[in-house]
Amino acid sequence: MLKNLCVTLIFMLLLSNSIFASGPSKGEQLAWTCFSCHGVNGVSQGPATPVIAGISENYIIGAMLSYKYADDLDKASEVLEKHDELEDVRVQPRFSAMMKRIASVYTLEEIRELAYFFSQKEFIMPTQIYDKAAAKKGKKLHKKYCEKCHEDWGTTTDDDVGLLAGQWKQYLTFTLNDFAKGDRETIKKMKKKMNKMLKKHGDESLEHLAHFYASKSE
Amino acid sequence: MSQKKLSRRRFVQVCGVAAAASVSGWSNISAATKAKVVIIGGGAAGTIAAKYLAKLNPGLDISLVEKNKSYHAAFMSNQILSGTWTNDKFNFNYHKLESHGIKIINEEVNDLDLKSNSLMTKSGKKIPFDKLILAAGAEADITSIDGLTSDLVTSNAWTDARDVSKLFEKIRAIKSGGKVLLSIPAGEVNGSMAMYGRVSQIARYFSLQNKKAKILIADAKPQDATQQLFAHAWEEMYPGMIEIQNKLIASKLEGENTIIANGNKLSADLVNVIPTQKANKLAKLLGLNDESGWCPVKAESFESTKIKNVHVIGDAVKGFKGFRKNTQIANSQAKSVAIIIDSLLSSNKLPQALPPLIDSEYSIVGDQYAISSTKLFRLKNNTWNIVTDELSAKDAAKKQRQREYVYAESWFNNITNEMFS
Repeated sequence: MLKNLCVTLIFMLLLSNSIFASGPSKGEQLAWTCFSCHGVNGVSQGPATPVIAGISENYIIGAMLSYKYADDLDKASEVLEKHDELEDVRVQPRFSAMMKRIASVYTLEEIRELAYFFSQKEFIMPTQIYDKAAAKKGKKLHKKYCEKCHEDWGTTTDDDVGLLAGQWKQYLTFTLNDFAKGDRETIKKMKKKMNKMLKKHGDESLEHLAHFYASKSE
Repeated sequence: MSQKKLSRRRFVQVCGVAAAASVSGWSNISAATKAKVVIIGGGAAGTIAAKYLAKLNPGLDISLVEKNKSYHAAFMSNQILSGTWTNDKFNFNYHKLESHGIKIINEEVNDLDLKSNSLMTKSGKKIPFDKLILAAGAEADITSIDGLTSDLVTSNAWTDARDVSKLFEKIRAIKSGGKVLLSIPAGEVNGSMAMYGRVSQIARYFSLQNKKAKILIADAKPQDATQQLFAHAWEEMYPGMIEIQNKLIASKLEGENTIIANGNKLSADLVNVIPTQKANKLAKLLGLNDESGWCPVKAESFESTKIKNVHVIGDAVKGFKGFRKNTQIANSQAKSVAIIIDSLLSSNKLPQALPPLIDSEYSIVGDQYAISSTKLFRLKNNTWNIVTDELSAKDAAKKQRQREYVYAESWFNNITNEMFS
């Protein structure tokens, strides 16, 4: 058996030098580029760039394609239609301060490698300052308006939802405001719930939610 | 990782030497002959090259030669001039790099012995290498302006956050309604937007503490899009405070408060001269620079076109078309060179592909207001081609400026953490 294994291994080595490379994969090497803003392994040191470690693969692919094809989202849908395995990836208009510039140069293949790499990394919650009273209000809001999809207090990425608990507060505030003001689009049921919340609890409810998710860092 | 290593060793035991010999580059993987990589300079490029080489191949013998025991980041240090960030935010040390198996050698490099592929240090130490990386940065060209001395270079504060703190003291001492003159050279400067960042932060301080003070910029370059964007931002944030004069070339310093530019005398309460830059003097000492003052390299490998097995990254590099000199592109080049050197040492071949290079700068203009510029490059046909080149829009919404403001600080926190953790 060992001899057979040996022959197979030599054959494989001749075919490709990289099979036995114990070092970082090509996808990881590509991901290094992201570290200087999003932190080593996607664990951002903050205060505003989000942690992208441990986020779902489809979520990252969707975000990157939304930035890449920001000027023509139909193109993104066309690209996705060719890949059955990407049917759960959602592309939506998304406010971009910086990422549009960067995402544009990556191919779908590379984006998938990046997404895979970061999805496999552990989401490490940063330590951050938050307001206890605001967090308490946020907790109630989350339970009423968000928990149904962002289960377990926003700690899960099931169904490719964004990871909320422990994310940087500043980023959450930005993103929630984008959703509220229509600078970032989302699925109908989230929009509906959000409008309901804003109508009843006002703009500060967004801030309260952000404090609540930040409080999960502890 | 250890499991894989074990299986590799087992593989050799089982299959014997003949099989091992059939694999090119096997020798450097075995523990007996660890390949030696020596990196000169512990800044944005050198620390990252060392760390990512260690990540790529923990079996390498990696040494970082850095004459200083601590690092005082120059990037973003203009924030000190508005009093918004303090000196301690810029201080770092190299201790944690050692936990990645990187040897820190606090020595000053003196010479290169090409016969034995070794570096010589001032104290007489000989450091052999298989691959050498020069990441020593840039320095002022003292001959570019009459009357410029190394003391004046230090007090003009372009390379060390501690010098910037001293400059801040001088700015605080300026009389009410006083004037600052900032002289900018025509050539490439490390931190290509940082001189405008400096103006912004001095203006930010004046807008709070010395409202009638003025800043005059004597810029040797003609106006470009970047300067226009800053001028626009300054009019929004600090109307009437800043005057820009282009194509005004400083040729001589007369004392501390006067420069001669285009034959005219210009004086101010504080004159801050940013001199023409060139590759660190080590580049010349080791024979790596050309008449431009920078070190020419091959695009696909960052290997010096002058000396084999020596690679140059960071500010010292003679850039390809569109390259600027800044922390982000130095970081990006360092990761590429790590991939390149690992590939050369293990297979004697260049890697099949490299990640894109990112050249990006944030510049804080004032409270909740920053702008930025991002370029990306891809390696194709043995050169780096620009694939993205974008500057923040002149008419961008407040929201955009605000995000860039907090992202600027996030970038600083993340990139310094990446360097020193």
